[in-house]
Amino acid sequence: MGTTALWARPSADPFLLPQAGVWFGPVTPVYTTYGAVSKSLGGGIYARVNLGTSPFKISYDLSYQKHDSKGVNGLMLVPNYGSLLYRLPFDSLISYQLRLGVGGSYVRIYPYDKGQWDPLFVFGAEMSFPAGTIANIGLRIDYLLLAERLSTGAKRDGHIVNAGITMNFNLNLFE
Amino acid sequence: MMMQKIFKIVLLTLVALSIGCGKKPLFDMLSGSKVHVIVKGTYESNNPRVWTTTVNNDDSMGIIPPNFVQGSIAAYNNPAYFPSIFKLDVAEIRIDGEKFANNRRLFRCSTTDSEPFFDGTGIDFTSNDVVPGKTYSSIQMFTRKMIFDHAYSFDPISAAFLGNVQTLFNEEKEDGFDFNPVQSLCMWDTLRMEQYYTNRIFPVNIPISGGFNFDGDNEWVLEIRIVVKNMVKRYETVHTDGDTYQIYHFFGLSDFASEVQYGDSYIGGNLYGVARAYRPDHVGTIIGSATGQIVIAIPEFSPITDYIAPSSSRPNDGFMPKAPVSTGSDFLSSLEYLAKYERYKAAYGAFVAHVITTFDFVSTWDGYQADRDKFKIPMLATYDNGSGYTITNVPPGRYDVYRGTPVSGGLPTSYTSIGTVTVTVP
Repeated sequence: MGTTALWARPSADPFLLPQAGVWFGPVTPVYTTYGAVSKSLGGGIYARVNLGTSPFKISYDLSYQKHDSKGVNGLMLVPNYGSLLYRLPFDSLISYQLRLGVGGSYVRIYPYDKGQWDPLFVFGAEMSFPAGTIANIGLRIDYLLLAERLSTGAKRDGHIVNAGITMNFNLNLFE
Repeated sequence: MMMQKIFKIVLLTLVALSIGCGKKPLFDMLSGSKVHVIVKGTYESNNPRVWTTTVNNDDSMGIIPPNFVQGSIAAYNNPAYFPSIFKLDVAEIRIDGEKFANNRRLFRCSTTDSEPFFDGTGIDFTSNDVVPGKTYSSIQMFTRKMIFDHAYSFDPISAAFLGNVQTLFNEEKEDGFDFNPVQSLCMWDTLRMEQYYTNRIFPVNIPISGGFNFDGDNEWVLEIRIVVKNMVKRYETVHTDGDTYQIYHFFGLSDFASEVQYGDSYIGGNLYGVARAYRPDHVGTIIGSATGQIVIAIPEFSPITDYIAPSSSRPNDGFMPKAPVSTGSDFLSSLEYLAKYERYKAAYGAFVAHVITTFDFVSTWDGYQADRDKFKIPMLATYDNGSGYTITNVPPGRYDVYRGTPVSGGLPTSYTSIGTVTVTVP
């Protein structure tokens, strides 16, 4: 009797498997964007692969958020970015990750009703713990910098902090 | 190898994204506002007439006469008793009912000629932008409070001076009387069923002369004027709190358009305003001379009659008797009230007899109110203090210019044409 393929575990740590997940939570305009629009709820999807057995992952994130205000102002964002995640070397069941991302975001403002793509930089942190071997549940927080000063020479950038609860599945794609 | 591939993919994505990025400063447009709202308390759009600080007493002050001397309050026409401050509490300003400047603001404006609210400069009111390409026609100013200080309280029996009237402003008790509630209705409103859901001050509806069509690209100024300066009068009201009766003498807006009589509960129908929009980089001036007179400029071919204040007096002073107001719960006051009430009943019988024989009650009052509804404040006005007049911030166009002599506590009752001018942008 050898081990059957059905029950074989591809690695010791399911966290190193490719992952796909969703998040949602409060999205808050900060700094110069604070006051222009109100906080709201946002959410998104993402997919990640581990770089071998290193503590690094690469990820692709796509999310959506729409901010209203007490007045007529409105802001709609579709952040769309790739990022590099680093898992902090703590010997713990809970994994802590830091994230650095670049990409673009579709930005639409109201009442002007004008939209365009803006360059996007993301700095984030995440903590998650395993829910069995197939899923992880966690909390994440991201700071989104919509770098319009870089792309248009404007006076202000967009500043948003996205927080949320997240769940991702460890996908055994290679078995 | 793998890291290199990933690095290349990320780099290519970045290049692709930076080529595809838009060039509009969206967050600047979102945070800043190109529409600057300024609020003025003057009839004139610039260089207003200086304050006349003589106390103007309304003829309706009947319970404690205005010239009654009691203690230190020798109140008759003494400039020392003219209000020193006007306090304004605005919940928000909307444009055509849309939320637009929805920040509560409180203003303390001294009744001096250097106060921005009264010197033609105006005070800033934080606002958002409006929808570009849409034409707006009116402003709704939600006024929570309007307060003048130097409001005094008297005992209805002994006429003893009881002290300054106090009211809440900025959540603090301050000297002054909030006359906003009593100007929520005008006399005509009180004759109608609709009075139960009519409110003339929350919001105050202010027309935008010429409309406002925001282009979205240029800086605009939206100037809102409510006529307060030199339109101040003292009134009397009975204040009851449980079985405590007091007579208040307070300052409110002059009854130049809708007359207030003895026993009236409301002094409304006398708050008029106008708004106008202009591009500060796209305006000219109108200059000339008309010493000691108010000069107005209205769009060419507008009828000047719409800008002449209606005569204040009511259709018929004896038309409809008013129910008496009790001034105390003591025996003498009650007896006096009953006697007055008997007289009121007799007068009301005569009124009914008159109405059912002539049938002109409705048409007379509706005609009276229609004159008040069509009265407008000119979009451009100034005052010539002797050194010639200059109307500033005039959008390009053709204007009919008129001059008129101001009256105390009121607006010119007639205007004389000076001519028509064409304003071009320099």
